[in-house]
Amino acid sequence: MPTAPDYTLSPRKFPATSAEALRFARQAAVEPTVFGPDFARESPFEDDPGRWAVLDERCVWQREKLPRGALTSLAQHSKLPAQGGKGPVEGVTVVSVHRDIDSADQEMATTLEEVLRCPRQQLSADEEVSGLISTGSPWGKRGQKANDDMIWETGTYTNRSMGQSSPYGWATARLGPVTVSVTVKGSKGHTAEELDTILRTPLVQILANVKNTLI
Amino acid sequence: MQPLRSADPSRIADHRIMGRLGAGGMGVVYVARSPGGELLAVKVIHPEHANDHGFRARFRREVAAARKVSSRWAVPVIDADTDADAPWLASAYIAGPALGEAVAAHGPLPPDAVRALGTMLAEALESVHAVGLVHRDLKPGNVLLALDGPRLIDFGIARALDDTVITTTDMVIGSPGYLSPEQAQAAGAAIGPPSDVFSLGCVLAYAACGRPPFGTGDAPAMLYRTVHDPAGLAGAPEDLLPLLERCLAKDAGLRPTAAEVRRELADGHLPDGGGDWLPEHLVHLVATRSAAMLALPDIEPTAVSTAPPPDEGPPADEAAPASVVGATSRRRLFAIVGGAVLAAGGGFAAWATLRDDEGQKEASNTSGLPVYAIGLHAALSGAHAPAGNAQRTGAQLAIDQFNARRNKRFELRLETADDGGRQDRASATAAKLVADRSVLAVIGTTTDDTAIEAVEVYDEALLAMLGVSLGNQRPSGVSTRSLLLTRPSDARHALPIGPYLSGGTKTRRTGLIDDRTADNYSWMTTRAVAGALQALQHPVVPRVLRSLSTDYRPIVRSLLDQRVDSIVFGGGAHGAAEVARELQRAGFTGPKLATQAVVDPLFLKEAGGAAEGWLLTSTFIDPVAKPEAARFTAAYRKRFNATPPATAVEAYDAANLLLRTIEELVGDAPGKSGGTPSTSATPGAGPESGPPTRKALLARLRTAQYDGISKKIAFTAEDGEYGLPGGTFFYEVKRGRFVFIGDAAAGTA
Repeated sequence: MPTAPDYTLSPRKFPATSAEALRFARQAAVEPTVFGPDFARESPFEDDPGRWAVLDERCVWQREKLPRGALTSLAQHSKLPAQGGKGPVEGVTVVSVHRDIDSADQEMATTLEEVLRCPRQQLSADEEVSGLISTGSPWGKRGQKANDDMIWETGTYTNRSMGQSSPYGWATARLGPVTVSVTVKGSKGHTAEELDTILRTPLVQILANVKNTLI
Repeated sequence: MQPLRSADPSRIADHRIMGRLGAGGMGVVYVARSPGGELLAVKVIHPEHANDHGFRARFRREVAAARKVSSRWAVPVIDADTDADAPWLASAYIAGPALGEAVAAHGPLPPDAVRALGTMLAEALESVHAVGLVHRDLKPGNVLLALDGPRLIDFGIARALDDTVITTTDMVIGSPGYLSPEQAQAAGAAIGPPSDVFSLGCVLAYAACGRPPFGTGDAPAMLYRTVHDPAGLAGAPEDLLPLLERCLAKDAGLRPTAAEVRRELADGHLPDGGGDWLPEHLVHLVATRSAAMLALPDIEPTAVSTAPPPDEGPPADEAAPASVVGATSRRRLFAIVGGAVLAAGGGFAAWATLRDDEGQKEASNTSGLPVYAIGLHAALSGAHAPAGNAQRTGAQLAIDQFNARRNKRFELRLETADDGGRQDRASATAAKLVADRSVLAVIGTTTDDTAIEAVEVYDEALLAMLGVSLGNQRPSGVSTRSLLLTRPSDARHALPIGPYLSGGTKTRRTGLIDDRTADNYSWMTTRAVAGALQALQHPVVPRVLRSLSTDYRPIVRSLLDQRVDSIVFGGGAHGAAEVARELQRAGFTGPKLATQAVVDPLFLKEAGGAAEGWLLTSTFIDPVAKPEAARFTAAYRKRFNATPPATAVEAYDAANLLLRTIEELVGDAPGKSGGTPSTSATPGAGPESGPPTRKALLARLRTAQYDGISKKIAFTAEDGEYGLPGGTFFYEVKRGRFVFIGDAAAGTA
């Protein structure tokens, strides 16, 4: 079995400026239908790529200006409308491009710290995730040989205005200076397994796009 | 797995409900434990379906048929009640990941694995078709991966009502990429076994190429492609192409049968489920997934306090207390493999002494008593030899003392087998002990890596395997029947740090360091400590050492900037030494804690004076420092002319637990009134002179309680984990040595 990745990223292809990084992120991102045939863009579809989400002292997510090490962070929102007796599903993809690998590696460590610090997190006024647990696998650990690093996070998503809880899944992976994360928030009638499937396709596809551009 | 809700039942028939796997249009699926301890997936049908007479009749018919499915690779229906208000059926629970998950995460399978997968799935389909069922929903999500082969789940039962298939001709919910053209056209009655063969072709194409043969995306487009377009098979191994193309023929009549697919793929050599059909990275994924799943329900109640696990299942409803590894999804869990073994000196001298004892094996036969053997499966050579030999000497001492007794009915010998601490030798080493019929139970292995392999062999033979130094939650999969752990797991042994910091000290804000370079072990210990502290409302400031760095200084400095007044380090000896030195440089004076992996001479050597005052948890005692162990220590010194090394006294306790349980069984044997042993137990005294069976011994051990010198020992009924509160001790570094303090649960103040 291989002891090193079967892919080699070329540092000279890493985006160097915020503008390049944003172009890169847009190319890597996927259309909502990759989540599933009936997913569509939410409005607004994108967040300001000069800011990203930071978990504050009180375990509440806030959008803040990117730190020096990050060039861009492109978040896109998709939604599967309620249909066939099942509630809506929200999917969010984020492609973040860092100035260097260390900065991206630090983002991964911070991600693990967030769950250790706050197993319950406030997403917005009436949304929270709880019972969170996350596990990380750098390349070669536990058979993770697709990316430089990979973190899975799961828990329960509660939307108070809709008065319900459902499975919540979040995954993030790092390839060189780029991190890709996909979040899926479910609702009534969706099994954890369905949401898992929904999450994986865009994740795998965006990562493939990143890899193909950087090798 | 999701937590139970208040409306969920606590039992279904005799099966105890442990958690929810999911819910769908048909009903709810739970994980349950049978009275025999087996994990089950129990599907409970919504009463509104059950009220439909047509449905109930069909459900009854299909359950009856499904119970007849008899393939190694199809998950059988084990129990069902089709007449209940809410009818249900139970099948074996497979903790392994689904094929879809494995391929999505790790890419296509290598050609050999695809071939093996195809052979076994075709065999499973054959048996489904043989009882008159059609699976109708064969897809990567319904193929679970186990170490010995795949498992086909969810076949047949009431599919037409299930919401994962077509409900009208133009509306599909779920994943249509694996339906046959006749299903895509909702051809109803035309859907028979060939439809499953088409799906099998899709699944194999997916496994081989990493994507479904009719693409992804828009459902109507995918269904159109299924009906009209050739399958996309780019990347499939060339020698598989002709067969895949035939399976994917649009005309159902042109497809091979499942039996033909199996024969063609097997090509003379049938897979025997030998366990090596999967590539290594998936073996790991499967093993760890199973291990993690099995561990969960039992650690949950103990994670918040050091109280014994309650008899009832995990707490119901959202009121469940925060737990260490509680509400984790069953589908992606952290590997619980790779624990710490306490390295110990002094083992080699003891081992060398022992070499002279081999002759006793024969000599003891001259007493005329039957001779039974206790196996010792250990690393007696290689890097882990000190621990392996410590356990060997400890067990040997117990056996020598037993054999020296006058009033005994049998003699014992220690049958040793050395795996060198090597995972690739563990199975063969275990097989050797299994083949020796005089071996009634085994102490071992020395490392968690070797245990993963060995436990499968011991399971098969129903030969009890008593772990002394094993600390992972479960080193194997669903089938673990033989493993009994005599110490708390790596996660549990870190828990006392919570109450210690929160109650035993005046600290208010604890810095917790997860060392990613120590991987699993650090993950375990830090999640345990974070859970325990958070449950006690004690603020935790976590820091994770990033994967590409071995510089601990920035982390330590940022914790000090955050004004933490205590530090817990989750990793091993080297990292702890780095942290210790940095804390010393900064003049930090608060409590500094770490866990068993740091009770290693390397820590003292690398940290030097900075190690002073560190408090460490361990599941092993220092017999020299524990008054209750004085007699053991004296006997050990006399026998081996050495100070007992770490884990020797724990092995001594394990051997005594074994020999006492064997004695009880011999005492129970027919024709023997349990009181004083008589001299009638001589050869030829009758059938009762036969040894207890391995199986009977294993069963008795599971419920045994033993008050050992190191600690009390008992096992959880369900999993054979260490089943008592406590069992963890504190050591403190004083004047460059590890000084045994005592029971960690009792506090050290």
